[in-house]
Amino acid sequence: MISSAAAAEAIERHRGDALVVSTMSALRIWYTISRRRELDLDIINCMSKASSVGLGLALARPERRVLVLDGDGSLLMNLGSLVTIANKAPRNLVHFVFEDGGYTSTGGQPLPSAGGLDLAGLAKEAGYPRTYQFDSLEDFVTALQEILEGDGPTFVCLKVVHDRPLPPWPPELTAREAVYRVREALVGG
Amino acid sequence: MRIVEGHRGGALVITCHSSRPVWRQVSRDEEMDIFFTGCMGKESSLALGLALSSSRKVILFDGDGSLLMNLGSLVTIAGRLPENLYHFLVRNGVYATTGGQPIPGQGKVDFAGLAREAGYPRVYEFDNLEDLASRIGEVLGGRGPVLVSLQVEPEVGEPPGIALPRRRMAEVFAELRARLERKGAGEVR
Repeated sequence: MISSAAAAEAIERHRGDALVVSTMSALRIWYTISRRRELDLDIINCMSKASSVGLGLALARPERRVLVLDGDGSLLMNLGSLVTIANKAPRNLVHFVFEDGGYTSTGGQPLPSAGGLDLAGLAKEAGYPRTYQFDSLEDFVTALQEILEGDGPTFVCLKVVHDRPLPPWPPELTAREAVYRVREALVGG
Repeated sequence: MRIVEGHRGGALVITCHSSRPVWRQVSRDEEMDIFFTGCMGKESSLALGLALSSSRKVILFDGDGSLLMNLGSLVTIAGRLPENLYHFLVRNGVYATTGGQPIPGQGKVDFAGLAREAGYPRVYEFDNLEDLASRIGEVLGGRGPVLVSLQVEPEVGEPPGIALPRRRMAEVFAELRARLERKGAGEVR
């Protein structure tokens, strides 16, 4: 198992000027670690839609790398987006899933799967050309450079535990405010 | 659909969108037929609920466009493992009832593979009638949940004159409950 905070820190070290779309637990960890908050798009009040928003950004900004920090519970609510993303095949999109096995932000209810859910397998069947799965931080850190430099869409399943208390939610923006903040950073006021 | 009808026994049959008008022409037990309207994509979730609450077999004719809107239900169904659920996926590659727009990943998505990765214990794929006819006994004789992927030719739009009026879900369910009480528990799964 990988420490969720350590995974986020590793991603932060390699992000460069990538746009980061994050949600739920991953967001709560990410916003305390990120050093380019102006390039972060927080998905708070449109549950499960980080992957779809990330796809839109990746298509709109093909020259910019877009990282989605998704959750397993979130992805299951929007699983069809895997097929939509694979079909549009944005080369600049890397889709990370922090798999903790539950709906952590709503009280830790278990996912409705039979157990042993293979999200990377689902992504591969949906048509992602590159998929990875990690349960060791060392392996993940070793592969991260290759993951971020290669052509996407790339799917990266991280088997995580929240070994540090999750920070509280970041200040909530409306979806419109969040999008305009990123837009401002990209094109200027 | 005629082939499935010949083997339905006392099963409840759920249809939607494109499959609805076709099934009406072949069904010989309309009392056990359910047409859902106005809940786009949710047929698989409703079928799961019916399968869990009934001892009858439940046969669902889902669409590929519908399933993509509710793809996570594959994982939920596999998580609950209803032995009496038979999930037929009618793959025409388009959103036929809204004008024939291609589904994302048309011709590329492997739905059988997705169902397998989600955890369905039995998965079949048919692209010709002969194979379906020769194996339908095995498909419906074994335990569910099973996914049966059927490659069909798209027929855009509904045949005139046999469309049903839109109905409230509460009415549909009340009527179904009354019918089931009249008919008794049916066969044991």
